[in-house]
Amino acid sequence: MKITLENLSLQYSGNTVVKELDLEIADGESLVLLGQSGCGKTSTMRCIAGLEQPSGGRITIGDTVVHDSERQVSVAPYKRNVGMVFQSYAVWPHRTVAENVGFSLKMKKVPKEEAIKRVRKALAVVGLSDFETRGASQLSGGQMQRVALARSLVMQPSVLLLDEPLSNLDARLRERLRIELREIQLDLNLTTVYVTHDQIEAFALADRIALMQHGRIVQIGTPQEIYAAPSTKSIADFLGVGNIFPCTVSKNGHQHVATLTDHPVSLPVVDVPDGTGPTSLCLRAEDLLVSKALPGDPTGPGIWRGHIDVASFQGATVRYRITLEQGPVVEAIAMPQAGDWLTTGDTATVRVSPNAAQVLKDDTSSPVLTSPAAATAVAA
Amino acid sequence: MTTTLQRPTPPPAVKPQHTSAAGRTAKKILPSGLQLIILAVLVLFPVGFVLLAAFTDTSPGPGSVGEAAFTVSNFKVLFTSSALTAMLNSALVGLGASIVALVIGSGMAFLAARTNVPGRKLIYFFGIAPLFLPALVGALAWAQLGSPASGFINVVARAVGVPDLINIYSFGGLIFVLGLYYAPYTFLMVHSALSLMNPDLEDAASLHGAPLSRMLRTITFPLVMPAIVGSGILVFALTVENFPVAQVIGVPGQIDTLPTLIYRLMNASPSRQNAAAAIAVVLTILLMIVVFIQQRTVAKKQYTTVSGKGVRARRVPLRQWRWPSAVAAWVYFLLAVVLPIGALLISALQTSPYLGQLSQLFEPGALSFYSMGQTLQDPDFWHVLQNSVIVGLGTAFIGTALCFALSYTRYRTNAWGRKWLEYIAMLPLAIPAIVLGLGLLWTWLTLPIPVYGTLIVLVIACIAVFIPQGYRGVSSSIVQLDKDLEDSAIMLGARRPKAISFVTVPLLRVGLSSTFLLLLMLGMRELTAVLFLFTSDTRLLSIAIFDAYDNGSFQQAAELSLLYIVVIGILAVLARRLGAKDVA
Amino acid sequence: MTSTTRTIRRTGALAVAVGIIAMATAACAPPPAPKEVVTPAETVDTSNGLVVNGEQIADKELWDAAVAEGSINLYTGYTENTEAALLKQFKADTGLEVNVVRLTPNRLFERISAEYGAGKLKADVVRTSDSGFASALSEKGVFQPYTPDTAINLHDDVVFDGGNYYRTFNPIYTFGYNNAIVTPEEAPTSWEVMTDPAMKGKIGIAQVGAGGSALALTRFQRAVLGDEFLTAYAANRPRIFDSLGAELDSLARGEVQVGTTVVSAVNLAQARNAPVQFVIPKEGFAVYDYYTGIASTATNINAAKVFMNWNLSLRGQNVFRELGEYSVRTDVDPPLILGEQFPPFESEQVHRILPPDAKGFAKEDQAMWNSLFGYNE
Repeated sequence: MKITLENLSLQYSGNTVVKELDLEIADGESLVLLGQSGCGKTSTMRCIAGLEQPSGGRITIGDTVVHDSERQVSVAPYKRNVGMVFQSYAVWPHRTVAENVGFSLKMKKVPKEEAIKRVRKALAVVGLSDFETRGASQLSGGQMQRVALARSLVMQPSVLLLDEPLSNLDARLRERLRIELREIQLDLNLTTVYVTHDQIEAFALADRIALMQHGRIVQIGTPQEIYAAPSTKSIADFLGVGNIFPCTVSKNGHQHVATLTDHPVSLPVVDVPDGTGPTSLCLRAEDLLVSKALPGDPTGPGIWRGHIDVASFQGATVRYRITLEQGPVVEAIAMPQAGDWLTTGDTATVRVSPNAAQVLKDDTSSPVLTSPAAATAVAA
Repeated sequence: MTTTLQRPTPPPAVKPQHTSAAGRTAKKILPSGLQLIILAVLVLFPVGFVLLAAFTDTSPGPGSVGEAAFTVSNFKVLFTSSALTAMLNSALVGLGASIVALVIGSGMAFLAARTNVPGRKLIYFFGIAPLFLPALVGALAWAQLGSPASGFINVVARAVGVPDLINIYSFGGLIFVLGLYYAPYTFLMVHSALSLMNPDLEDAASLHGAPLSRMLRTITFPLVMPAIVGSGILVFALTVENFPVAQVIGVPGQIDTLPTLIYRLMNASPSRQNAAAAIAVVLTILLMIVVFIQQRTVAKKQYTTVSGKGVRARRVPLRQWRWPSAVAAWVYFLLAVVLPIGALLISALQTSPYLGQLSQLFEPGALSFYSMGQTLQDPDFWHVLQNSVIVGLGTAFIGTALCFALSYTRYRTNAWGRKWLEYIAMLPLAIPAIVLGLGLLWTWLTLPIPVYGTLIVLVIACIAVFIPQGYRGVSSSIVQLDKDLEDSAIMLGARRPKAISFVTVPLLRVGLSSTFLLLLMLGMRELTAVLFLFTSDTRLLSIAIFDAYDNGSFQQAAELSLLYIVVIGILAVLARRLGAKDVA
Repeated sequence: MTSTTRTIRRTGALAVAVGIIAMATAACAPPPAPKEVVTPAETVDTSNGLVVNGEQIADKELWDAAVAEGSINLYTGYTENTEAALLKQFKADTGLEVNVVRLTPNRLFERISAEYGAGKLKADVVRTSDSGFASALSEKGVFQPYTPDTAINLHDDVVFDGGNYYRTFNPIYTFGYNNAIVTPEEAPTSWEVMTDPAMKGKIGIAQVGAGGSALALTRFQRAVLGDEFLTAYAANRPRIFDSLGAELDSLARGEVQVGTTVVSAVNLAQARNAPVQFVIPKEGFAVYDYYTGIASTATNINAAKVFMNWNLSLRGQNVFRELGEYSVRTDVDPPLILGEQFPPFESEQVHRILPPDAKGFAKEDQAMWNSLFGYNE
């Protein structure tokens, strides 16, 4: 079922944590609310669930208005048929797995035989068929998460909400469950809203990502769009873009040129943001090609020399920290062929992939937020 | 993974409710409003009546509210020599007793928690054992042991040629007995601080080169300081407001404290209720100041962190102090538990209540269980016991339910005014029990609800006095329980009450049952708060003991005390049994 | 913690085992019974009403009705032990049960007033010592008038308010000493012992607010012994007791050597081997009234009447005498207790506080006493 949030606001003891938020989630879409802690993502999700009372705005699920502040209309959370997997899983330790999973059916007074069948189906979907009679307090973290998931799925919700579903798991489990969650969601074509602060998780799970800051959506788009074109410096920073430098932009004929503020480095760039205000130059670590410096290397804009400070072997990749001749310290990721990698102290040539550099608005010095209209305008 | 779930069929459209503004406001105010009213009647009315009695000249009762005339003349009583002496005595006794309790409690706590003293676990038991002897019983026993002419210790001393060894009816005696029986409070607080202290804090000091004694002095001791100071202030407050010990040990030695003065004024003929109220107001203000200071000192410095990393704290090797320390702990146990119970036993078993010389005890037929047997068969005793059990159970059931409602509203809802619920619920801590007893008497005489003279008013009194303990017990459990557990039930289709009963209450079982048992024990032990409320057919065991003492029947008081200890002991054992079962 | 629990359990089990063994070996036989202070009735005849020792207590009609009721509810301020000793005789003579509500006179008054005011007074018979309380209750309507057939040969000043309540007996308030510490040769004979500097700190007194008895004593001390006596008494650092019962117990234990006492209480205590003895001082002593009346709310009215009859009969009055109280009948001798013969009621040594004086002086006496003894000012 599709979800529509219109002009949604939420206040907590005087603070506005969600500010006039507009969002449309299509039926069957998987949307991730991504942002740092405190940005309002969990609050937004809880408004959809009905666990928070918005101070303004309207929420519609499917064709039903579940909340309208103006007309003082509100559907109680237990009637919304919204499934929710909490960050702490909230699996009841004093009950068995089957009792946990079958709870919603008990509430709907589903007859016993049918309930048992549906519980078993749900357990099978999450891969916990053997755990039916196990006490919930005896489960591992990953198992608990699956029980929480099955518990929500069995009630055939119109919408599934998941709050930081993978953050409490160790790395290997996280990777596996990431794929499984996506599989289930796609299989069921279930409208799903995730909340996370981990961009990798977001990229893996989302059809679209809504980036939130200070209670508003600052950028919304597919994972590829967001990764390729973050709209501001803070977003780029959050997404883990490695090399961000304050810069100024000037025009050289038809060409824009970005010059670093603190170092004598310039680079031709293709796009510059509108308007005035401080800007930053962003270079992704994977867009910097590193090779051993040879005497015959060409020079020019986007080609620099530097020496390796740290070379950190990461298995499939190597991460270099390089101090360029001109001053700036950059980080680059390389996938070297066997034996092809550099070590500390080596001199290297660093090349920027063509058109990889981006100039972004620097919004961290003066937190001027983009208007909601501009944010949704970028939606796919 | 194969797909075996179907695409969810859209459920029937849910009709959203239009809640009127009035309806929503009512929903927000009703639960907390109702509880505020209950708390007001339980706690604020009594305080109000005490103030009323202090500032008017009519004795509080039905109709008195209308005809009362404002006056401050009642406070004249504060300037009489007996009142001034009582105030001074209260302060001195409180100070002395808290120092004694601190020294004993902290010492035992240190031994039990952090040293290699032999029999450490037994010492822990010694530290808390006196809690099973209500202060009244301990005082009675020590009166038997230490009264100047016929106290057992003096009788024995006289037999070996040492006359007039001790006189328990003295300042020293009063401070001694109070310190002895309030030491467990200090013990528990300091022990908990010492054993829950994060061992990393000390390890860090050692790693950086601090020798053991240095580490103890500069790290351990200062970190435990808040617990020591906090418990010291708590004991000061408790001993200043203590009534039974002051009455049994202080009054015979002509030492009056504020609570005994209040009691005497109330029992004067005619009853001087307004003067008693004036003194009660002063005592309460004193206590409030002390409690306020205590909250500030404790709240500011929360040093001990309960780490999940296990509590294998460092053991301090005592070397040559090992055995002397153990002996000291045993001496405490002897003084606080063994000697008193022994004295009660002898008093209860004596066939003739008057012991002039030690040799009398060894005459044949001097000791017999006959009298105790008679008491056990006395229907009055069973009636009194029944009353105590009913009041205890009533306090426990209703008190726990009320405290659960209060805690839940405070920590789990957005109800309006929920912070006030907590303030009022904790207020009785700062009101001396005897003052609350006064106020409760006047409240329930005046209110048109006919509970005065029944067991119900005793239950009400006990609940009013112990709401703070009950509230704290339940809150600490509720706060630790993740809100999501209940919310998840809501998302799965349960209404809030169902979610509470299915999820929250079962998970709080341990916290709720320990609060239940705590209230049961406290309700069964209480004397001071119900002192003015009982009538001769609603006597409790504690009151029966006090009555027997007041009328001079020491032997009966001793017998009842022993039976009392047995009853409380049984309850305590049951408590551990049930508690242990739950945890598993 | 489980090993601690185990240790505790083991210690507890050990203690219980020791206790059981001790119980098995210790004497379980009843101790030698206390000496009987009161002589039981010689003859009790219920063939035609109730006749005790040849005296008719109740006629057949009244007696049958009383037996049918079977019990009375007595609200009394009388000392617990003495009331119990009295009721033992009553029960032996009549077979009627008595349910006792015993409170100190102040409390009793408050309780009765409260219950009566709420229409819930459950008393059949009320007994109190304070004349102010008694007349106040009578005014409120707590009593109902009744004239027992046995109310003959009475002293003056026995019937009050038209038979609403009766002066039933007069306890004797004097002083006593601990005869294990004070030898018979040293035994005091005069109230002056209380002001003797050698007795400083070893004497006791019950506080004036303890009820009508204490007020009577104070009136006696002020009127007969003088205020200087009382001042010197206070200066001699007596231990002040909240109740006579507590004082007697302390006296018996030797915590004080000499203290004010009521004769009947000493009598009963001596019967249980308490080393206490009373004194008939040469200056005299105080006696105070004890009043009894049938409640207007009595449900067991016939049994209550039998109770009143018995109290004022020759038999009942002799029981009071043997306990150590003065009778209100002219045909009953003054008490002879533990070898000490008390003078007749009209003698100079006997100082009875008349009700009007009691009411009139109560406040002043109390205030003066409180300020003298530094108690409750």
